[in-house]
Amino acid sequence: MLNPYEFFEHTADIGIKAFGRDREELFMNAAWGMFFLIAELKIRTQQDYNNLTTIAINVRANNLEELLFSWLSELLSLSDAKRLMASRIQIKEFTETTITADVSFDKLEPKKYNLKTEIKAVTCHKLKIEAKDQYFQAEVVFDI
Amino acid sequence: MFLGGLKFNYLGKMSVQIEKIDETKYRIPKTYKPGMLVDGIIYSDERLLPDLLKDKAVEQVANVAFLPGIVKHSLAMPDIHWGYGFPIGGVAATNIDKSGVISPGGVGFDINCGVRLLKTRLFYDEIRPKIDDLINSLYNYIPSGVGSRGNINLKGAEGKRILEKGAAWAVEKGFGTKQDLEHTEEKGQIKGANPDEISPRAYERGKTQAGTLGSGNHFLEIQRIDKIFDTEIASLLNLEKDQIMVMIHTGSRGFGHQVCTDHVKIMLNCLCKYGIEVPDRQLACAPVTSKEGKAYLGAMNCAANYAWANRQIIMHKTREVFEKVLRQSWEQMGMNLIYDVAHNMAKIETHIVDGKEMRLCVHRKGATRAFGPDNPTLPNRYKKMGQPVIIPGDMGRHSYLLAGTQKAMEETFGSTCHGAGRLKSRTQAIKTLDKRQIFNELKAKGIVIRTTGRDTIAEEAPQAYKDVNNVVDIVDNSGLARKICRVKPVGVIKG
Repeated sequence: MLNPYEFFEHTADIGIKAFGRDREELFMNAAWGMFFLIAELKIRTQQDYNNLTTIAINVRANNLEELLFSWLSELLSLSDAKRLMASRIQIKEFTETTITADVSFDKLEPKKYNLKTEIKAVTCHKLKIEAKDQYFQAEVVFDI
Repeated sequence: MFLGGLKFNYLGKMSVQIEKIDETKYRIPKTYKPGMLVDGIIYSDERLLPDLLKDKAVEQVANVAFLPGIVKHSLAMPDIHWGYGFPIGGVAATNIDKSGVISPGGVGFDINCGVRLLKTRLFYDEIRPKIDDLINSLYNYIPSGVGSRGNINLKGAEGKRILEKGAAWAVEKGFGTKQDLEHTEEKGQIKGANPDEISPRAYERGKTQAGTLGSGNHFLEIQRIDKIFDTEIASLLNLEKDQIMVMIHTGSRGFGHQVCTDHVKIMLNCLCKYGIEVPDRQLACAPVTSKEGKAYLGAMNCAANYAWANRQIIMHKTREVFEKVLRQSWEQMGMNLIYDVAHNMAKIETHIVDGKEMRLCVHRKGATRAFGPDNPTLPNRYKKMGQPVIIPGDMGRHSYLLAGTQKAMEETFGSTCHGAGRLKSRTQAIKTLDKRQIFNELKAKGIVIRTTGRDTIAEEAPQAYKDVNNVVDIVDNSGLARKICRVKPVGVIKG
């Protein structure tokens, strides 16, 4: 079975390698990898689950790689601005240059989450997406 | 002079040709990669070079040499390590009048990340029994850690005013004095900030983060002077062995990160628009005089001012904590700012290149401005000695105060290193280092530490960094800055 993501070494920062059977899954797994770096869930009640905030996200870019940069940047920036942690991602439309999704967020509170890393930003450094035989693979470096 | 023509292989794939120029300088000839407009010059020595060749930092020095309008060399300071786009420790200047470019990747996401150094009249023996109290109170009073939020009100018009006035805004709000501004690079308020270039999201992220330290390598340290190198300058600054100092390292927080992200997106479109070819998209750039270049510069200056306000607020809160714990006024304790320097910035400066005055856009990405004596931008107090340069090391060894030199003006556009430079990646540090053992080692050295993050102590362990003593020796030996004194941490707060 394909791992959703793994991490790779970078001297000052951190990189993730995400995988997906198709490009939508690849984009989702890259997002989950990023959120895993930010925080880990300690405890959540059914009530928390009912109180998720859903935000519609619409991102455009010149090509698939820049789309991944913009997608992750938008999620990160929302998470930092509003103290949110993604809980459910539904991609509704996906093309080479646009993505429309509904993302449900939970409040990023220390009582519910172990806060791990403050990611400053998604970088374009060495950002790449490759189509392998059976799956897609993306590499992204985060500034931390 | 071509000594040996060493060809180094790294990562098993690429090889880069490095020529030794002298004991502290190495050249990557522009013939190394088609597209390089100038040579790369790396300040290093035989001790540090092998570590440097382990990652992609050297390749990044070569990549920066592609930037249109670059003059002299693509430079790297001795704390150079692998970054994104530029290497950390990279310096590059472009000629504004010859379509020279500005690149957000040459500044970094943490715009105007920098350091300030505050002195006191206190001596180590006097405060030794109070260090625990001081560190605990500072930790409780100054928000730190992942996503830290403060209580500074930036509602309505204040959100814009902080961007235009920087540290002067903080002083107006009661955080410090006008004297502090005199001792801050650009007086803590760089001109040319344009709040119209700021996105609503950046405002939103900035609203709650002023006066917060953040996480990662950002810190607040109480330090004692451990060694004086230049007695003349030290006495001019009233510095003696065992005197207590405070060093603060932080930047523009989520606000700056958003400004950079917004403008990298814009600049990605500029590569095609202006026919610019760079080997790494993170080097996306536009001519300084273009619409996009001006927009970035105006926004970047806003973030720079936000960062200066941030450090000013944190410094003044530090004074308040010292007052409360030691029951003296900060003025009585002589808690005066020595200097505040930016180490992630692009600035418009005039330098002499090939005997001619040139208007340049100087990118310093993990590099500190180090202007030499008599520079008109320096406050009178520092005109004779040169600009104070603050170089933080790691939390277990040392940090330095140095002075800028004329040689730095001639060779590096008045720039020097910014820290020790990472040696181990964060994941490697967490995997290989024992947190409890690091804590005990620091304790045995008399260093009190408080951290917010679970793994910060391992990520930021002394073993994860190069020895700052070796790095500073290179800048001192090469004449890019000269040592004034060395300090040692006695109390540390990390986010």
